[in-house]
Amino acid sequence: MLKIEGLTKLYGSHAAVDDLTLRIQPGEIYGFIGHNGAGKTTTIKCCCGILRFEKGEIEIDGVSVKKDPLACKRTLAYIPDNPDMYQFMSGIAYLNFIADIFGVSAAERESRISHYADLFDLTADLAQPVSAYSHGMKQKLAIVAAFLHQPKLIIMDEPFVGLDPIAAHTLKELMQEHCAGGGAIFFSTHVLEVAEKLCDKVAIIKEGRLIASGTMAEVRGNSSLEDVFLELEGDEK
Amino acid sequence: MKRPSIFWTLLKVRIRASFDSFSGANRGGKVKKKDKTLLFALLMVYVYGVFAMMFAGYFGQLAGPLHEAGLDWLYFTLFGMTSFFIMFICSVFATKTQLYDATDNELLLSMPVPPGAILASRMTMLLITNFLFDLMVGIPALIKWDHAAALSGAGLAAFWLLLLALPFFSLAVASLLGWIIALFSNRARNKSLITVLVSVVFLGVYFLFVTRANVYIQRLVTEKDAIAATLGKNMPLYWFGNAVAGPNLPQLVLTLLVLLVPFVLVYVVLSQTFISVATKNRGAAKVKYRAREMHETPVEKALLRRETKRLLASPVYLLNAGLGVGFLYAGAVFLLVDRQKVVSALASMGLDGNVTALYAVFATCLIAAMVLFTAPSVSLEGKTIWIVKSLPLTSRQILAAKLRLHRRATLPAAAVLALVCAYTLGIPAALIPPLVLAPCAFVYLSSALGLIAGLRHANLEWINETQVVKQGLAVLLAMLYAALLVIAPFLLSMIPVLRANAGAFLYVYTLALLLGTYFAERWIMSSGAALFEELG
Repeated sequence: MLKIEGLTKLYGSHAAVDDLTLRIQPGEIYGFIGHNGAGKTTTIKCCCGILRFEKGEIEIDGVSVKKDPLACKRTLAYIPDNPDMYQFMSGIAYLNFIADIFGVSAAERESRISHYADLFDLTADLAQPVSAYSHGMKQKLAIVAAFLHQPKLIIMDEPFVGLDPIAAHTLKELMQEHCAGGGAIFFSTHVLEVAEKLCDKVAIIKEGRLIASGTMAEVRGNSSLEDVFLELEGDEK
Repeated sequence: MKRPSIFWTLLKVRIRASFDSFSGANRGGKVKKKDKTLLFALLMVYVYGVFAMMFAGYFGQLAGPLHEAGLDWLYFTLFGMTSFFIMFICSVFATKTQLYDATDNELLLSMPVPPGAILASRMTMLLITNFLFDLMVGIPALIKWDHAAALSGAGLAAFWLLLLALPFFSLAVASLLGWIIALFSNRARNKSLITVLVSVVFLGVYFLFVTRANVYIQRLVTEKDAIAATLGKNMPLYWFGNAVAGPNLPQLVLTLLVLLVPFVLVYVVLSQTFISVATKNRGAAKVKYRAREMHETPVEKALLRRETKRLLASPVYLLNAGLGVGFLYAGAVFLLVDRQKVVSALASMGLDGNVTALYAVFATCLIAAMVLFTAPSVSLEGKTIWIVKSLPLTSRQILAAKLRLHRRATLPAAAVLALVCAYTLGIPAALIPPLVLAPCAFVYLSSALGLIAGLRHANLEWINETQVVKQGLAVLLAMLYAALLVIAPFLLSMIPVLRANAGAFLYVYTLALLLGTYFAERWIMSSGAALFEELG
């Protein structure tokens, strides 16, 4: 579903991501772990076609992000770490805008908005302007918008930040449901317990380079993910 | 070293913040900051001087006739009324923002700062601003009176006392009105519409005053006795003028009381209620969502709707970038209403139909040049740019929507004014097509040039949208490009041989605008789209 091959992204002479290779199969929840500034967000933005990259190749569902970014974007949804949304729109206007761009039919958008907004207890607030939303509500709106066009791949950057425990639980269930239906999820997180419980595979990145990846069992072995992460971080120092 | 009091510290912060927000001096390096401060100071001195000269002209026409008619008191009453009007118009929105909408109220209240000191620092800042406006009117009034008649020492003292007291009264009234505006606009759903409407009304009153000032002055001079009789019945107004002209001590004391007591009352009420005023949640009334039938919209229309929503939700964007649209329609109405005046003015200048057509086009284009929707539109994407960049949209589609908004809003207005020009000014039939086509082509080209400036000087890192809508380099350049598109051909049209062939010149100008649009659009859709892809 997502193939990252030798990805290198430079900011000037500094390599934010250096020769990164990953493969995410349909049905997988893939966790992406690393300290602040390790290159997680840069990698994610390259996968979504937001950032251009110097070397390597990214393919989504067999289509190159470089060669046909539009086709790739039609099959994915992105949830950023800080959901800066259009303050000048109401929640429902934003969802309708997203549905228009993806060509979601009127009937489908009605049922999906109702379903996902209800799941996140957002329905009553949909007429409110986004400027009146709290951080958590914006995050919920971004999640509803992401599921609205039923993408094959969902890429999330710190999706649990700002969510209340109920919404976080709902999101985890949705992620599992999505992957059970043949979709894939690639997400970054700092919450190692969540990654440990939720992910089928995990990758650890440090200073732009991949330092470990594989199934949870392969990476973790007999330790906890936290121990492995701390050990790997320590080893590199 | 002695620690400055909290009040002085807060006042210093207010003065600095106020200065920086106007001059933009809080951005850039040290050298840049110095340059900006100097430039800003020079600009302010120039603007202040221009207005002071305008008031000198106004009072110069009144001083002699009123003194000769023995209506000295009326002169000073008129000074007081003018000064109050200017202070009020210029400070009512600042009063609302500073007192009722300040974003740092909660932060300050969380610190060991007495609420009274916060309020006092804010009100002192507003009083300083009012006093500067007061001086701008008062000094020319005093100088012009001194030319026409002598003022006694007691009269001069009374004048200065009243000049010092006037800002307090103006601030009291502005605080009251600011409270009412805040009460309505903050609870309203269409907050920006209310802000725009109130701003336009104030702007309209100001323009009416400026454009008709001469008419009012003439009426004041010719109908001075009737005006004196009317105002004389209003005791506080009469006391105000006579306190200086008399001079009359009891009337001075009474006037000072009338000016100061409302301020004291407002201050007492506000200081008692400041914490609740400052911390009140003024979010718009909550609207509960009711599911309605949904409709699919084509991508192009959805993008245009997004641009339109952004525009309509922002009074700053709408007022600064869109006022030209209003002026285009206002120009058409003015031409229809005052047709005879314009026609006779053109006749007195001896302009033939061809030259009139050319100048009508320049005038229409010059007004259309005030429309600046595209220039800040790229920067306005700000931190939300990730949305369009993560969606299956091409940069061309996004940029085309920005151009479309500008053109859809401006083209009808420019065409209406051009058609009204054709109808009212007796333009030869052969020149009517370019008369209408040239302003439309101008709108196409100016919108494209604005977008080019916006793409080349995009700033996504703004904190307040005013930074990109009012002070952005893109906007400044777009204004310059658009003005050059009119000024350069206007200067060319002064060349006798071109002026003699004004009709042909107009056709060439139209063609040049169309050609310019073609090349500008080509750039936007190729290099511009590539630039947009690099953003974010």
